[in-house]
This record gives sequence, structure tokens and C-alpha cells, in this order.
Amino acid sequence: MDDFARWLVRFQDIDRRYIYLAVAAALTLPIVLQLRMPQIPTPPTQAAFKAVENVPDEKVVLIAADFDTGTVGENGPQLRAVLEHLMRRKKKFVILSLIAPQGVTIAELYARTIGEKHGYKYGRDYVNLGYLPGGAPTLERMGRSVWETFPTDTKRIPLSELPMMRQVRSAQDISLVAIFTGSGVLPAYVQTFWAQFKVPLIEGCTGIIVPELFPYMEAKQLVGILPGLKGAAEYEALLQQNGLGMRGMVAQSVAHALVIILILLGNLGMWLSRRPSAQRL
Amino acid sequence: MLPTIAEDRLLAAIYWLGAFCTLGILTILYAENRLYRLLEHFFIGLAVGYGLFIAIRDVLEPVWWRAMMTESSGVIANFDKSPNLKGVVLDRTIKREGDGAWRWSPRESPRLLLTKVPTDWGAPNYLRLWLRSDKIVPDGMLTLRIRLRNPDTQKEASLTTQLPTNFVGWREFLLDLRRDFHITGEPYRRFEKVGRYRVLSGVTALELVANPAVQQAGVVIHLDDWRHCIGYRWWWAFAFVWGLLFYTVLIPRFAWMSRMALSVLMGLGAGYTFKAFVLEAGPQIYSSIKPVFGVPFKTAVNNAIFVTVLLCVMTYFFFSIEHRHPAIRAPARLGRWLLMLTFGIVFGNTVMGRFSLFIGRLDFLILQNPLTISVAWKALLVIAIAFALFFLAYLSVRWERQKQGVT
Repeated sequence: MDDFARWLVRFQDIDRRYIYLAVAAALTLPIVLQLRMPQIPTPPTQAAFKAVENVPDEKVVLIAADFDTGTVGENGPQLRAVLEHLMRRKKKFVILSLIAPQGVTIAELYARTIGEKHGYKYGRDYVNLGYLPGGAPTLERMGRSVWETFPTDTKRIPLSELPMMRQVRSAQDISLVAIFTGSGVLPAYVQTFWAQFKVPLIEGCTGIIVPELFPYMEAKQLVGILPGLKGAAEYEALLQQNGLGMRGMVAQSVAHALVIILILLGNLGMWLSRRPSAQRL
Repeated sequence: MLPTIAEDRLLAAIYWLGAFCTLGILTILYAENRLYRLLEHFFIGLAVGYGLFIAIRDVLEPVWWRAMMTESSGVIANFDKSPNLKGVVLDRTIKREGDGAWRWSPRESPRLLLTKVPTDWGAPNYLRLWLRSDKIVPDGMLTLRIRLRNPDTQKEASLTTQLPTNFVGWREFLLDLRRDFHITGEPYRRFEKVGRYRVLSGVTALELVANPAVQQAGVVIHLDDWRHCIGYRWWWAFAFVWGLLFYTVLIPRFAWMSRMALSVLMGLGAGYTFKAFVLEAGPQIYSSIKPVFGVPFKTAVNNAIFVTVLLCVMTYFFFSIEHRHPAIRAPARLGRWLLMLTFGIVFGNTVMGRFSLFIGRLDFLILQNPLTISVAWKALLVIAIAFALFFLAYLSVRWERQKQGVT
């Protein structure tokens, strides 16, 4: 017993690189072994799913890809899941970004790869409007006239020449805004699309900003949330699809279990080292 | 000439470059080293360069420069194909642009109706039309009418203007849609309006009618290159001047000028914040007032917890009264604990977020690997490369320590 106590006390001084290695192994093994675990969708994800499901055929969805490669690990699977859902339901969508130039490129890449499976065609079923900074004033202008705010798409094609965009003129033609971000860009959309144009919003966010979003959901400014990678996994479960979210959540769970064990061991070691009898150890 | 590279080979090369950079960046987990620093600078340079490129390509060029320097027009009709209209023929000899122009004889057909025109005109400011007359008709007048059916009101509307025929040869008509046209009904869309630009859509036809003087004169009119235009937004040049003011901060003598630009920006921001606060925070404050009585039991418990947490946290931040009285101290202390609980949740989510990023990279390194081998072999290959790169990092650290005389 004394040996174990001594080991626990010494465990506090373990080189942090061993912990990195252990966490890396805990995350890698489930991915390599391709383990699965069931996901039970939580109400915020279910609400987001329902909002996408209820998009009318004659209107489009605005995909706000306000993320870059820094948060693609979380926002990427969320966006892929929502795009898969939209394409299964044959809904049209428009991509833009207010804060992240890389976001629109990543989103279009996803749309192209997933779209190949569903027969989606650029210009007819989806359009990339690109990156346009300016925050809420830009969105307000866009809500009044999409054509005026974005004279062309990212390929320099005038919007009047894109078959899909002939019907998309203002916020009246947009039925849902799906925001994917790791930043605090949501207020701009709330102030404009939700408050002024009465368009519902859903957000796929990184885990770190999830607590900030619940007041928005409580006030019904957000219809649904996809919280982090778990949100993506839950959405994939609703789609009955096995994507990166589902694959990643096993790794997440194993790594979380490891971290909890390490925290417990560290605290136990600290408690033992503070005992009067610790001098003996 | 550069050698041709097959697309799959190029994609594989890009993948392996990405894999090398990813694993190289991860060597920071061992220690700060030269390989990591090199790749970090590489990534930052790449991100900044890409951001600049996108800012120029997607923002400055199309939204500012092109709008300022070009007419931003849309074609109504180019008159290059044979018409199926009485009194009109395609003339390939007399033309302004393209393959030809329409030769119209008003004596044969005083009314010309163009129906195959684009329905959506965006938000045009004026029309630019080219007309040619073979003789002057002093009392002659052509009536131009834009017929449309407004999609919002579902009612017919029109814009009408008169074009004099007191010219010979080609003449360009620039017709201001707000000033030069007489409006019947409501032609503009109700919802879409940006500044002074208003949207015209649902255009059904363009009508050109010659008055009796033109008909009797036997004049021949040529039509070519009709466009609706937004026009040059020359005033956007001031944005450049205003933007330059920010850089005067680099010249001490003119640094005061930067405050002008900054103050306008801050004023705009402050003004917008008032509006934003009402639109964003208002509904959240309203939704915080929850009933505890007269609702189902579960809702009542939830609401009671919500209100208790809200009041306790607010008490913690209420510094107008010293936190000595037990009625203030106890809720404030509870508020502090609740805040710590929230921060714990945020921290937990942060850890989850970091794991997710690593999982994203694992997906890239292992599952998206283009090699046609099993996942286990792909993982072993990645581990082997990682081991080699971490060994490089180790050598780099050891070399630097030796150089600095650190053992």
C-alpha cells in the first residue's frame, strides 16, 4: 500500500509529455480500430435537425461558414452533416462568410464532394458568395438585396447569370441561416436576420462557446445548436450516417475517461502528500 | 515547358505535404524546436497571404474597385439575331457592336414590341441605348415603355419616356430611370432597396412606338446594344482617401488625422451598438423573467433554479452595497460558486474542443490517407513518420542546448 501511495505522490511530478503520449494513444486507438458507440441526440441538436427538415422547397438555406482551419475539427463534421441533410432533402443553399476567408473555400469543397453523390450542380443547387467582411451592416444590406451586396459569386459570375440566384433576391427568399463558427459572430446574425428579417437561425459551434449560446436559445433567437463534435455526432445519428462525428466521439469518450482518471490520481497524490505521514513516503 | 503531373499524383503530394506539416507542428509537444518554428512561420505566412489574396479578390476588387471603375451593366438586347417582327430586319453592315443591328422601318410597323428580354434587371440606375437615324425628323418622337409585372404586388406597371429623333447617325441615350421616366403603377420591388438603388424585376417587354411625324418621314431607325446600368460609383474613391487616413499615424506630423478616421469608425460602432443591444439583449432579458407559480411542476423547478442562479450571480456583481450583511453575503458566495461551476463547464468544453481538433487531424492523417493499405498500416506509417520528426526535434533541441552550453 505504501508503494502505491509513494507512486501516487511521485505521479504529481510526472513529465507532461507522458500525458500527451497517453492522450494521443487514447485518441488514436479508437480511430484506428474504428469503434462505434450509440449517440442519443440532445434537444438542441434535435431542434436544429427539425429546422433543416422544415425548410420549404422554394426557399434557400444560408450557410455561414465563419470558421477556418483552426476549428475545422469541430465545425467541419457539423457542416458536412448539415450539407448531407440538405442534399438528401434536395434543398438549395448559399455559402458565405463574414469573418473567415478560408471558411467559404472549405464549405465549397465539402459541398462539391458530398454533392457528387447527390447530383448537385454549382449554380443550380448551390452557390458560393464568398467572403465579405463588415459584420451586421453587411448582413443588413444583404437582407435587403443579395444582388447589390454580392455583385458576383467567388467565380466572378454575376448573380443574375446563376439560375438558382434568380430566385434569391433578399432575406425573404432565405428560410434558414445555419452558422458554423468558433467565434462570436452570432450577434451579427441575431441583430439582422433574426430581429429584422425574421429568419430562424441554427448554429454549429465549437465546444468552448456552447455555454454562451444557451441564453440565445432560451430567448428563441437560436432555434437549435450543434455543440462541438458531439453535436455533429448527434446530427449524424439523426441522419443514420456514420461520419467523422460518430467516429470521433468514441475517441473523445476514451480520452475523457483517461483525463478523469489522471485528475483523480493527481488529486489523490496531492492529498496524500499533504498528510502528516507523507514524510515517510 | 513544365512537365505534366497527373491529378491524383498531385493530390497525393499535397496530402503528404499536409501530413508532414501537421506532424511537424505537433513536435511542439516535445519541446520548442526549429522544425516547429519553421513550420509555424510557414503556416502563418500562408494564412496571411491567403487572407490578403481573398480580401483583394473577393472584397476590394469586385465590391469596391470594379464598382467604382466600371459601368456594371446588364444586357437587355444585343440585336445580333434575326427578328421575327414585321418591319424589322437584321442589318450586318450598319452596327455598333456584335454581329449586327436591327433595321426598323416605322412606316411599315410603327410599334415595336421586344418580349425576349431579361426579366430581372437588378437595381439599375439608368438605361444606355444606341439608336441610329438616317435623317433628322424635327417633330419626331419615339415612345419607349418598359412593361413589367411586379412580383410583390402582382400588378402591371410601366416606365415611359420620350426619345427625340432630331439626330443623324448613331446616338447614345443615357436615360435616368428616376428622372427621365414617367412611372405608372408600382414598378419597383417593395422589399429590396439599397440606398437610392431600387430593384426592377418581372420585366415582360420593351415597347417602342413611333409618333406620326416619324412614320410619315419614312425614316429608318437602327437599334443596337441596349443595357441597364448601375453606373460608375465614383464617390467610392473617398473610401480610399478615408482609409489612408488610418496610416497617417505612421507620420508623426500628420498623426492627428488618423483620429478623424478612427472617431468616425467609433461613432458608427457606438451608434450601431445601441441598436444591437436592443435587438439582441432585449429578448434575452425578457426571457429571463420566468414564472415559478402557475406552471407545471417540472417547469416550476427549472424556472426556480434558473431565477436563483441569475439572482445569486447578479448579487455577486452588485458592489453598491458591501457584502457584509448575511442577506447579501450568502447569495453572493453562492453566486461565486455557480460562476466557478460555469467556468469549469467552459474549461471542460475547451478540453473537448482541443480533442476534437486532434481527432480532425487523425482523420486526415489516417482515414484520408490516399494509400491503398489497411487502416492499421496507415496508422503505423504515420507513427513512423511522427517518430522520425520527433527525433529531428530532439536533435534540434539538443543542438541548441549544446550551442548555448546548457547540459
